Amino acid sequence: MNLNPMDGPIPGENFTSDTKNYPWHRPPEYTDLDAAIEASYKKLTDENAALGVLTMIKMGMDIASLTEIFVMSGVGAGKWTPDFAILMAGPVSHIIYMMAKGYGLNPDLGIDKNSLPITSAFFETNKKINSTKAKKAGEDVDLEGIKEQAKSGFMGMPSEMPSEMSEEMTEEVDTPEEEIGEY
Amino acid sequence: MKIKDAIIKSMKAYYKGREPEQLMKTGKKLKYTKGYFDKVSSEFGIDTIDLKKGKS
Repeated sequence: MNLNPMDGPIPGENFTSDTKNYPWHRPPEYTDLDAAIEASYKKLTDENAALGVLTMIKMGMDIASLTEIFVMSGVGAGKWTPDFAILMAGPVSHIIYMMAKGYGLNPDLGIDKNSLPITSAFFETNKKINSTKAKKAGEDVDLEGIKEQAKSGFMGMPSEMPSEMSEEMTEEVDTPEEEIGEY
Repeated sequence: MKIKDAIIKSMKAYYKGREPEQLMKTGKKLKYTKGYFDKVSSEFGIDTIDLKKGKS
């Protein structure tokens, strides 16, 4: 098949084309920042969406990650361009922050360098946690005992060492030379 | 730079009170600025976020 190099698409032609293609290949739905933020507010405060947003914040997700998910989903849906998404990040994150605070949560903005990325392992682990058992385990912790031990410092030895521990510590360990000699 | 880094940079600039580029380039007054959301927050009794220079 002979391809005519002079017959190819002009870069950016997809933005002026209305033919059926991916949503982000077509002109965006919103080009006005106020209109886009208003639409985002309506979407975020929708009953189902709000439940999802607040659940994720309660599980420990930071606001920056949620903002990224929301604005980039808008790019994928052809609502706005990636540059617009970056412009909207501030107001959208503020809306999510206000929703979380209004619900009584203490959200993390996630703009510090120390914030860890949210991975699938985070959600998998959260799924496995039985909240009733976790609460009971927390209640069973001997806080007074821990506070007492903490007073003596990290290297502070307990006053009475358990017998099993003392046996393990005095057990003879084979030296590498002896093991090599066995070959 | 990843998109997440650009979003975090944009968020930091927003919370420091810097207006988006559109305001400066088109001259159009934006309605939904940090000042607007801070006013709404105070009406609902929600504390505002202020990231001044040197603080985070």
